[in-house]
Amino acid sequence: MIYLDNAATTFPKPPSVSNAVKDFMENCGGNPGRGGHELSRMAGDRVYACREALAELFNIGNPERIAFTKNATEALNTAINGIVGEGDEILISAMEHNSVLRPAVAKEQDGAVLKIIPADRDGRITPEAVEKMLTRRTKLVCIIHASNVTGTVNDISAINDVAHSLGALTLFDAAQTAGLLPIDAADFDMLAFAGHKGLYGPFGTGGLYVREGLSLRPLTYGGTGSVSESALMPDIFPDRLEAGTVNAAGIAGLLEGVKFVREQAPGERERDMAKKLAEKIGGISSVEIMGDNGVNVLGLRLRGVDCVDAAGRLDSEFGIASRGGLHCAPLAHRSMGTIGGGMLRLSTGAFTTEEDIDAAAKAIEAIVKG
Amino acid sequence: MLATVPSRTSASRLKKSLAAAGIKSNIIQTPSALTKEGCGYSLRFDEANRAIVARSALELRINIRAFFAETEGGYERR
Repeated sequence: MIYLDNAATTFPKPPSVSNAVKDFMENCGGNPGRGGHELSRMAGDRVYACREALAELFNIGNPERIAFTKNATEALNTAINGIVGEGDEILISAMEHNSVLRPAVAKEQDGAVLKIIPADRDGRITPEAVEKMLTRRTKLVCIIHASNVTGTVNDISAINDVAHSLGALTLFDAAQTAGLLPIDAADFDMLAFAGHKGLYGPFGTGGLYVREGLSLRPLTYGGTGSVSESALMPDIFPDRLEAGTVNAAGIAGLLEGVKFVREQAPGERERDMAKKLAEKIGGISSVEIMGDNGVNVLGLRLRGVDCVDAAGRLDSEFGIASRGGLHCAPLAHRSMGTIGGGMLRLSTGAFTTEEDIDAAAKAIEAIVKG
Repeated sequence: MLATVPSRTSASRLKKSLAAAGIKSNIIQTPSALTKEGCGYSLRFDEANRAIVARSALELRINIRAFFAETEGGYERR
């Protein structure tokens, strides 16, 4: 199998990741942050080491401000629900994934004001487009760092500055970029990330960074191993956002994923392979590459061929894993004019080879030529 | 000596900072006699290092709830 569905989840993972999960399960299985015995301490140390590694990766001064979640979706829901209330204005972009669109629409149904910032022809959200829609009533600006459909990268630092100029809080969705592009979150209010994509961690891992001084209503309430006589969630981070036991085995694996990413230039190979794939596929008539593909994602429109059928043929006839359809991002497809048929998405990973790229390009050519 | 801290995570952070300064400490569950809040965590360290622990916590903006000396009869707030 040639795996070109790394935007859904990276595969394979580095061996150190699965080894760390196994080691945790077999040798270190205490509950981190509950009790004080040796296995609990060992587990807590690994969880903290991962928090610290992530803080260094994202240039976050205080690792306590990173709360673990089960994925980027949970992190985004935590942030949106924790900040936006009735009457508040929330700005999201026309390239957002359903992980942002759906909680934002739910807030609108509860009385918030939802505005959607349009994208340009490449699917990019410019700082100028944000500025046009921003008002002094805007509570939160939530923007995807790179589209999961086209790979188009947004200048989130510039957008952060624009949002702050009128006092809005910022939330950036790094589901498709954490580990693949350098991210400096020091000036952001919040950053949501997935652990199982560009950070090469296991499923069930992700997180939310919340800057110091900003507090959120929790999404989930329960035990934290701290301040347990109180019936209220503690104010301290990360406990406030981490009710219940965290996925410590997954986080032990994620720690190794972050180390793997930091040992290389983050995302360089993935982007290089995506660029080579774009060069090869770009020359095939009937294939249109959508967006500007600044990360590891290529979104393709195939004239005369249904993209889901194409993904099925890549799988069954050529042994290539890809994804066809709307990619849980209907707004993005409306923006790109592909809401009717969707796109075929190919996405590279750290273990993608030039042979994989050649095979994929030949397979696409064979499919569009019938 | 014990320093009670807000969370398991802040305990780890302070412990790591102290280790970088060459000071050994251990994370323990806060004895129930020392807390009115229920479960929590503390750092155990040599009393001679109290000033360094306090300074490190201040630098990290970790709020040490209290210091307790370990005595024959139990604990004494210092």
